[in-house]
Amino acid sequence: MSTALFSRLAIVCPGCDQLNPAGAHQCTACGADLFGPAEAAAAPAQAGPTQPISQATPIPPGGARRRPIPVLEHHESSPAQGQTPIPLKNKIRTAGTPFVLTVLSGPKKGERFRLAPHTVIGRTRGTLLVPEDPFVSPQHATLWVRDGRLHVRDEASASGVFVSVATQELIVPGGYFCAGNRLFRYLGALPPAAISPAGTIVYGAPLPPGGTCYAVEERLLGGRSGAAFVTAQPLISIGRQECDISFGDDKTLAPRHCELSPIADGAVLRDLSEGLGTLVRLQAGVERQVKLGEQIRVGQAVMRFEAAEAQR
Amino acid sequence: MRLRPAVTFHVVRADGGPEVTVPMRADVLTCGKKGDLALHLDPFVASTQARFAFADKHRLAVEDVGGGNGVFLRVRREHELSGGGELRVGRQRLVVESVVPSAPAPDGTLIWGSPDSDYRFKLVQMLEGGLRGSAWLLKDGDNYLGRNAGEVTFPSDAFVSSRHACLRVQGKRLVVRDLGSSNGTFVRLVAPTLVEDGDHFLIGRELFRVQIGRPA
Repeated sequence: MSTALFSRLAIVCPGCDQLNPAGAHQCTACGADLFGPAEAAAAPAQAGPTQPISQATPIPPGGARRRPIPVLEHHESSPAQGQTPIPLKNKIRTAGTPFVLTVLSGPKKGERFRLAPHTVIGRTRGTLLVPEDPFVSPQHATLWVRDGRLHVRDEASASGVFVSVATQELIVPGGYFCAGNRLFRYLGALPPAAISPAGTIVYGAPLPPGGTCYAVEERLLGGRSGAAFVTAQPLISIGRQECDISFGDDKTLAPRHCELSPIADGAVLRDLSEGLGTLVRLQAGVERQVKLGEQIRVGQAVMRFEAAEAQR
Repeated sequence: MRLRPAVTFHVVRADGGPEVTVPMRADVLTCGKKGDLALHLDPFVASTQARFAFADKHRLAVEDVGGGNGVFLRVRREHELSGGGELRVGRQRLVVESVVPSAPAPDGTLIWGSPDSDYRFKLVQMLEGGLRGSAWLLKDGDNYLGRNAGEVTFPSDAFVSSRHACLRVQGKRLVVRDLGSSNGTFVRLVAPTLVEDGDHFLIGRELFRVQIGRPA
C-alpha cells in the first residue's frame, strides 16, 4: 500500500482500536506509535478517560491496519457477533494478548475470551457485549493488558466491578464486597445512640456494654437491603456453616468463606474461600491491577484472568 | 342496667417479687409516668402511654395514646402482622418491614446483588436509643424465632426461649404465633383494642396483667 494512500485514510490503532484521523502517527487514545513495531500496541495507555469504542468501528478500505487485529477473539462454540470462532491452537498471533478471561458464572459460563490490549465491556456499547445480562450497564468496564498484567476500571456502572481479594484487603465503611453469588456491604461502626436529655428513651434491645457495634448487610438485587448483622465482636464470619452470617444452602459459598475484622477506619476483609473467591467493588474511575488467576465480576459474570498457554 | 365489671391491674415484677395491685376506680384509667397506674421509674414510658376505658359500659378497651415505644399485648394464639408492625420478645423490639420488588433503572440496567427469593417481609431489630440492629429476611412458610434454634436467633438474650415463636409468611400475610415461650410474644397495638380477662401488656420495661372480674 502506498504512503500516499495511507495519508488519506483514517487509521485504526492496532493497540486499542481507536479510530485516528488520517495522517496520524500516534494514537490519540493510547499514544501508541501507529507505524511502529508490534510491541507499541501494548504500550501503556494513558490513565485518562478513554473514549467508548463501538464494536462497529469501521476498518478503512484497503486496511489501514498492517495486520488483521481481532479485538476480542472468541474461541468457543458461540462466536461473538459477526466473528468466526478461531480455535486457539490455530490462532495466528496478532495484537491480541497472550491472556484470556474464562467465564466462571453468568450467561456466558464456560466461554473464554482472548483479551485485546484494550477491551470495553458493556450491555450495548463496547467490544465485549453482554446484551443478555441486565446487571451490566450500557458501558460498564474497561480492561487493559499492560506488562503482562490486567488493569480494570469501572466506568461508573450501576452494579460495579469487583476484583479478587488476594489474601486480605481493607474496605471502608459503605464498601461493597461479594462472596460467591452474594453481595454484602460493610456499614462500619454504628453511631452512638441519641440520648434524649429529658424525654423518654427509644426502647430497644440493650447495646453491648462499652463496645462499639459494627454492621454488615446483605444487598439484594435491585440495590435493596437484605439481612443485616450487628455485633460488638472483633470478627464477623460469612459462609455456609456455623458462621455469624450463614447461608446453609448456598453452594457458591465455602463453609467459612470470608471474615471481616473491624478496625478504626474500616475493616480488614480476609478471603478464606480457597479459590471460590471473595471480591471487592472498585471505586468508579479508579484503575486496579489484576494478577493471573484472580477474578473479576461484571454483572452476573465472574471471569478469571489466565494465560492462554496454560489452557492447552 | 348492666353493671360494669371490676377491673384490677397486677404489675408483675421482673424479680418475681410480690405484685403491685391497682384497682380501676373510675371509667378511665391511664398508664404512664404520670398516669393512674404510675410507671414513673421507667425511662421508656411516656407521661401518659396507655388509656383503658369502658367502650360501652361493660367492655373494657385499651388505646396507645403515648406513641413512641408503644403498648404491646401478649399474643394468646396467633396474630396477623403487616409492614410497620412491631413485636417484642425477651428484651428485643422487632419491626416488620415490607420488602419492595426490584425494578430496573430507565436504561434497563438492574443493580446486581444477592438472589431474591421473592421476600415480602423483613424483621429489623431495634436497639436502645433508636438504632437499627440486625435484620432477617422472612422466607415463605415458617420462620422460627428463638434463642439458639431457628432462622431468627438471639443467643445473648436470656429472656428469649430456645424455641419462642413462629412467623409464618403465606402469600401477602404474616402471622406470628407463640410456641409456649416462658416470657411471651407481644405485638404492638395499632388501634383501640378490646381487653379480655388475663391479657398481659408490656409498656417500656413494665409488664402487667389485667383481671376483669364480676361486677362489684
